[in-house]
Amino acid sequence: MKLSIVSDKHGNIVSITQPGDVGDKVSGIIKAGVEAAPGQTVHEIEVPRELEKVNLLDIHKGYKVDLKKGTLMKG
Amino acid sequence: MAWTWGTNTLNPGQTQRWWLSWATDPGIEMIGVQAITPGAEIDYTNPGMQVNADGSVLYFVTVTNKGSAPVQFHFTGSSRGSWTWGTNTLNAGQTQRWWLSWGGYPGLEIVEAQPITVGCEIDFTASGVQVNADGSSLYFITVTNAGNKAAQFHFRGCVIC
Repeated sequence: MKLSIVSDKHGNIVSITQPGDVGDKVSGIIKAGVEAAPGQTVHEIEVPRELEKVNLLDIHKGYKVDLKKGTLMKG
Repeated sequence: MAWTWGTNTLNPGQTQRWWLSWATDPGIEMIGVQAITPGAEIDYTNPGMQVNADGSVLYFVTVTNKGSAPVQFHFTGSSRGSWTWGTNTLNAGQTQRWWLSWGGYPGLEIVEAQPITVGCEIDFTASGVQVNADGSSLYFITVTNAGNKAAQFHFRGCVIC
């Protein structure tokens, strides 16, 4: 599962996005993006399998971005 | 389904921030004001939404009487079914500008940010649309977490014409 994560310059998570239709109705949206504010970076990060069923907000609160590796690490 | 609710008055030059509450999620809501008093401009905005611990949902509305005399007005609106897209988080106090892309022009889309985290107001402004050379279309929406903790939200919307 790939997440789009915005972090600050220290790797602290500002926002996480899991794209795709959530309900029964089809939106037709093919992609979406967010503009990072100054000092922020958008990362596309493949999430480890053990995190795929973890609530997104728990990832948000418990992890940060390893800016050198481009991966998530416990924060 | 269209609805009209309440009869309210407001002094000239005054702005009030309202919340309209539904026991459960009513679906996407388009909310405005029906002016009753002739000759007075009433301005309104729909800043955002909040879901509460009991499952109730608030839509916020600000109303300003731009006229020179007290006015009377109703709230009026319409509930619609919607698509729901993406699961997102955002830190407290943060604002982000998003773009949502369709392969072609989808029609007039009403897009909002639907909060999931209880007690956190999520504000949003759908600000514009763009068509690209390849025929794809972008709708822009600015989202703010007005709450005091990180919050989760979906985008949702519907084509109205």
